[in-house]
Amino acid sequence: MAPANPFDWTYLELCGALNDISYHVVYAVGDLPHNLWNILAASLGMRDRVLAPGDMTFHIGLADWLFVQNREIMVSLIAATLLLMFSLINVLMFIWVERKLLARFMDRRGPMVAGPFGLLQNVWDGMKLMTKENAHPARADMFAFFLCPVILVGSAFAAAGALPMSPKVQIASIDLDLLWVLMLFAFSPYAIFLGGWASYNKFSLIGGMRSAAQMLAGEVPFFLSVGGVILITGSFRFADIVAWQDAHGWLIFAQPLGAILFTIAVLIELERIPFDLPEAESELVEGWTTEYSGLRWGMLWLGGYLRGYVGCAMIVLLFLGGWGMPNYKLGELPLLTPHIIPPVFIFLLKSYLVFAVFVWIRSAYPRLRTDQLLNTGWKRLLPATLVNIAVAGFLVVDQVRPGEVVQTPFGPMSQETVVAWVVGAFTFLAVAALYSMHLLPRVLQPLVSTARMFVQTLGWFGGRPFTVLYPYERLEVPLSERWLHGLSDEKCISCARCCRICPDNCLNMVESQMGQHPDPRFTTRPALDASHCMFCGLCVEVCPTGALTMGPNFELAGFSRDELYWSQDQLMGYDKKTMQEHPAKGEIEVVTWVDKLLYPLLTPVLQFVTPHNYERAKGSHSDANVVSSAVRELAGGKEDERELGLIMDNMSPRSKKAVEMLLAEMRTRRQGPRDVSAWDLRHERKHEPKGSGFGETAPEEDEAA
Amino acid sequence: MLPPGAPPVPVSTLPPAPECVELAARIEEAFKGKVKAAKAMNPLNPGIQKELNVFVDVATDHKALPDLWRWLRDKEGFDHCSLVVAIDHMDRIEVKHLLFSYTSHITVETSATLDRIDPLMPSASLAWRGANWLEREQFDLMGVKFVDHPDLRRVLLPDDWIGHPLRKDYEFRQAGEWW
Amino acid sequence: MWINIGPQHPSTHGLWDLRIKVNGEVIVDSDPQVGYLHRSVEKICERKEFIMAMPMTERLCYVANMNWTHLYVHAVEKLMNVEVPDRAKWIRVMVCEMNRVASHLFWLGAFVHDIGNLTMFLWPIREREYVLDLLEYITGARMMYNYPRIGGQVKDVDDKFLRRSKVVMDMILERTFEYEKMLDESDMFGVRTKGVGVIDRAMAKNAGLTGPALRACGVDFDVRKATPYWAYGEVDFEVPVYDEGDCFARYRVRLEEIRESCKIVKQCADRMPEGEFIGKAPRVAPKTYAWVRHEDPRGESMCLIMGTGGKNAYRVKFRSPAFVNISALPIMLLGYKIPDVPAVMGSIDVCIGEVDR
Repeated sequence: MAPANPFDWTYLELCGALNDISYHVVYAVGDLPHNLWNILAASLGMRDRVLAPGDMTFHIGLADWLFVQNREIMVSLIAATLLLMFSLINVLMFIWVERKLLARFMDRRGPMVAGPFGLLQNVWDGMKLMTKENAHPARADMFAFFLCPVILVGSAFAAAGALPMSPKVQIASIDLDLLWVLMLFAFSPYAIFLGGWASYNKFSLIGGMRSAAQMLAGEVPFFLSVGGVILITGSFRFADIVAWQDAHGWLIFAQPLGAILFTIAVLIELERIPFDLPEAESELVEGWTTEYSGLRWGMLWLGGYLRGYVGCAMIVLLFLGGWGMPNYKLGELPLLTPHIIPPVFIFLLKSYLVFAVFVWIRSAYPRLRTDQLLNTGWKRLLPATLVNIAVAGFLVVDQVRPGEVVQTPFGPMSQETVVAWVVGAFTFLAVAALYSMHLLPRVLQPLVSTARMFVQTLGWFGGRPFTVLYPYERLEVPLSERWLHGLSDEKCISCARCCRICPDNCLNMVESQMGQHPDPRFTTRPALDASHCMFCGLCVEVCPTGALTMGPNFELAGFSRDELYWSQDQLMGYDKKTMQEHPAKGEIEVVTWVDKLLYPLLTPVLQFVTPHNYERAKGSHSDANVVSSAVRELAGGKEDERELGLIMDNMSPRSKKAVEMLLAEMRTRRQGPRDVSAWDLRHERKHEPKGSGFGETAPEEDEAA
Repeated sequence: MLPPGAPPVPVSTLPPAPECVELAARIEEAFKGKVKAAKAMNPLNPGIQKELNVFVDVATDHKALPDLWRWLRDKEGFDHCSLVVAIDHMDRIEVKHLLFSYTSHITVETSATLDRIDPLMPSASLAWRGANWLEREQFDLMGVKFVDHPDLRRVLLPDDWIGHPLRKDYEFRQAGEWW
Repeated sequence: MWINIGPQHPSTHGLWDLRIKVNGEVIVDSDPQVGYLHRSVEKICERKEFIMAMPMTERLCYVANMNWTHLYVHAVEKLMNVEVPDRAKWIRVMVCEMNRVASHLFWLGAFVHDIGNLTMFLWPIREREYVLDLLEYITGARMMYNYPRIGGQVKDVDDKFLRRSKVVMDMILERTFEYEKMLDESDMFGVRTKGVGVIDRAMAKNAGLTGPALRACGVDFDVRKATPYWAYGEVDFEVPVYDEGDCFARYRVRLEEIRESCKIVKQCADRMPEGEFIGKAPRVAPKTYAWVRHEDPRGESMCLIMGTGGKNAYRVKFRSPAFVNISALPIMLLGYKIPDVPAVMGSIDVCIGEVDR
C-alpha cells in the first residue's frame, strides 16, 4: 500500500490517489440531483416521491465502473493527462529559455512585455495561433496532411511519457525503455516526408525529402552512440542506467565520445542549427512546414520542442546521472546533498542546462548544407560510433571474465589496468603519427575553431544589451533631427518657397487659422500633407526667415489620413526652446566590467521598480508642442518665451493634460462643426493641373463654388 | 539657344592626354572612312576627376561598330563595357557605349545616331557580356532595338508593357497621378 | 524544373525573382527577373530641378545613399563646371567612406544570416548603429541623409563629430578582427563559402562585374585609385585583392575594405582642412552632357547627366553596379546546388533600389 507520507508516494501512486478522489467526487456529484430531489419532495410534502437510495444507481454504477473496476485504465489516463499538461508547460518554458538566451547572446533582450520576464509570451503566441485559420492547399492530400502533426506530436508525447524523472515519477517503465524511446524518435522521418509530400508544393516536397534524408542520416548514429552505454551498464532500462551512474559515476566521464556523438545526433534529429537546413528561412521559406498554418503549425512547433525536451532528458539520463547529485561532503557537513532538493527538480534543472547548451550552439554556428550534413553523418559520425563501441567493449571486458589477472612482462596486472595501458598506448601512437605527418593541425583545427566560435558568442552575454526598450526608454535624438515640422507664426512671410521646393508637393498655402495675424500682409501659412512627406528638409533650408523648422518628434503615427494632414495649429509652437530641451544623443557608451557584472544582478530588481507608463518616461516628445501652443493660446498669444517656459516647467503632467483638454474644447467650440475636411483642403492647390483626376470635385459643384 | 542668363557651354583649354591622342589616331587609321570622327577629349576639369576620354562618333553608319568593338576589346585591351545610354533628342536617338580599359584607364565613348521611328543598331553584347542587360534596359525604356542581341526582352518593366517610358513623347496615364 | 526564389523570399535582400532551373538539386540555368521596384527615377529626375531630384537619388540604394547622392551631385557639378572647396571634398570623402562601412557591415550581417549564423547577424548591425548615429548627428536623419548640395555640403561638420568618428572607427576596426576570428577559421562557414560561386577572371571582366566581386577574382581595379576624385588622391589606403573568385574571397575583400575605410575616415578626421563647406553654383546647367564614375560599395557606379540649359536635366542615366552584377549571377550559379543559392546571392551584395531604379 502507499506509504503514509504523501511526499514519499510515487507518481503512479499519486495518480491512484487522484483516481480515488475523482471517484468520490463523481459519486457526490452524481448524488447531488438525488439529494436535491429528495429535499424538494420532502419540502413539498410529496413523501411518496422520495427516491430510495437504490433508485438512481446510474451515477453510482458509473463511478464504480470507471474508477474502481477499471482502475488501471483510469489511473493511466490521469497519469497521461497530467503528463500532457506538464509537458506542455515544459515546452513553453523551453521556448522561453531559447528566446531569452538566444537574445542575450545576440546582445538584445528577448520577450519582455507579456508577463514578468516575458514568461507568458508563448501562451499568448499559442492563443494567437489558435485564432488563425488552419488553411491548407486545395489539392493537398488531407489525410496525410492531417496525419503528419499527429504522428509527430503523438510519438513525442509517448516518448516523454516513457522517461522517468525521478525514482518516484515513473509512468511507463519497461525493460526496454531506451529502445522504446529511440524507436519513437524514429517515427519522425516518416511523418515529415508525409507532410512534405501532402502539401502539394515543390518547396515542401524538396524540403521534406531533404529532411527525411537528414533524419535517416542521424538515426543510425543516434542508435549506435548509446551502444557504449548499454554495454557498460548492461541494461536498457533508464532506472538501471541511472542507478549504475549513482554507484560508479556519471557516464559522461566514461563515454565522452559517446556523449558528444549522441548530442550531435540529437541535434540532427531535432533539426536545430547547425542542422536546420530543411526548415531554414533563407532556403525554401519554411521548408516542409510551408503550407501548415494556424494551430497545426503550432503543433509541429510544439512537437519539435517536445522532442527537444525528450532529447535533453535522454542526455541527462544516459550521460549526466539522471536525477542523482554527487554526494559531496565537507567533513560531516553535506554540501550538495541530494536529499534536500527533490530529484525531480534536479532532473529538470539538468535538462534545462543541457537545452541551454543547445541554444548556445544555435547562436554560435551557421548551418550545414544537406550534402555536407549527410557526409558528416555517414562518413564521420558512424565510424566514430563504432570506435566508441569498441572502446566501451574494452571497458567491460572485466564483466566477461571477472577478476582475471593477466601475466605481463611488467608483472601481474588486473584486466582493467591492461586495458587502460593498451588504450593509452594506442592513443599516444595515433597522436604521434598525426604529429609526425603534420596532420595534427588538420585534425585539431576544426575542433579548435568550433570551440573558439562557441566561446566567442559569450562575448556580449551578461552585459547590458545594446537595444533600447522603446517606449519605456526613450532615445535621445540630436538637435538636428529632421522630423515633425514646426512653424513660427510671427516669422512666416507667406512667400511659398517651401511649397515650390518640395519634391513631393506636400505643402500648400492655406489661410491662417489663428485669429490675429502678426502682419496683415502675410495671412497664408503652409499646411503639410505628412502622408507624402519624406522629411528631406529642403523646405526648411529654403525658408528665408527660418519660420519653418524641423524637430525631433518622430512619434507621428495616426489612425486616419486626416490625422496626417498637419495644418498650422499642429505645426505651430514647436520652437527652438522646446528643441533645446532635447539634448543631443548621448556619448558612446563604453561597456566596462562593472556593466557586465552589475547589470545582470540589478535587472531582476529594476524591472519591478521602474514604472512602465508613458507619463514618467524620459521626456514625452509628443506632448511638448501641443502644450506650449495650448498655453500660448490660453494666455492670449502675447506672452514672451521666458515666461511661457517658466509656466510650462512648473506644470505637472496632470496639469499639462488638463490644459490640453481645455484647449481642445475651446477649439471645437470656436470652430463649430467642420463641413470641409482636411482632405478637401489639400486639393485647393493652385498649381495642380486640372484633370489630374485624384479626389476632384464633381463638375457641378465646381461651378457652384 | 540657351535661355538668357545661362552660363556658356564650358570649353576646356587643357590639352588632351597623349595616350588618348595616340589611341584616337590608331582608331582613325584602323577604321579610316568607316567612322565619322575619333578624337581625344580635353579634360573638362581635372580637379573633379582625372579622366582620359576618347570620343568616337559613328553617326548613322553602324556597320563598323561590331568590328570596332571587337578591335578595341582584343587589340587595345578594353575589357569592360561600363555604360550603355540612349538619349532621345527630339529628332533622333543617340546611343552611347562607354568602354573602359583596366590597364590604361582610358574610356572610349562610341556614339551612334539612330532613327527615332525604327531605331536599330548592332549589339555590343557579342563582344562584352556585361552589355547584355544594359542594352536590354535601353530597349525596355527607350525602344532601341539591338540587332543580334541574344535575349532582347524587357528587364525592368513587366513583359506586357506597351510603350517606352523614357521617350520624350511618352504619354503619362492621367488617372491616379497627380504630380 | 524551374524554381522561383522570390519575389517574396526572406533572403533575397530586396524584391526580385531569381528563377533557377534545377535538375534534382543541381542548377543548370538561371534567369533573374528584376523590375519589381522600378520607380522610374530617371524620368522623375528629368522633371525636377537638380536640388529637388536629390531625394530621389538617395532612394536609389537606400543602404549606401551618401554614395549615390554624392555621385549625382558630382555629375551635376561636372556639367556646370563648379569648383568645390577643399573642405567639402574632404567631408565628402569622409561621409562616403562612413557609408561604405555601414553598407558593408549591413551586408556582412545579412550574408552571415543567410548562411545560418544568427548571432553574427546582429553584431555588425549593432556596429552599423554607431555609424548611423554619427551620420544622424550631422545630417539629422538615419538613412535618407540629403547631405550634399551643388558646390558642397548643406551643413558643416564640427569638432565633436570628428572626434567621435575617430573613436567609432577605432572600435569598428577592433571588432572586424573579432568577426574575422569567428568566421575565417570556422570550418562550417568555410565549407559553405569556399569554392562556392566561383567565377574566373576573364569571365568576370567580360561580364561587367565590378567592385569587390571583381577584386575577389584577382583584378586590381578600384575607381578611387585609378581615376581618383575629391580627396582620394591624397589619402593613404590599400585595395584588397584576392584570387579565388568564390564567396569566401568576396567576403574577405569586403571585410578588409571595412578596415581600409575606417583608416580613411580617421585620416580625414585628422586632416580636415579649414574653409568653406559650400561653393557658388549656378542655377541652370549648360546644354551639354557630363558623366562621372564612382566606387560604390557594390562596384563601379556612373551617372551621366545631360542638361537642357534650364534648371532641370534633359537625361539622367545611372549605371548601377548591382544591375550588372546580377546579370553575372547565372554564371556563378551554374553547376552548384540549391542550398548554395543564398550564399552566392548574398555574396553579390544586391540592393534592389539601385538595380531597379
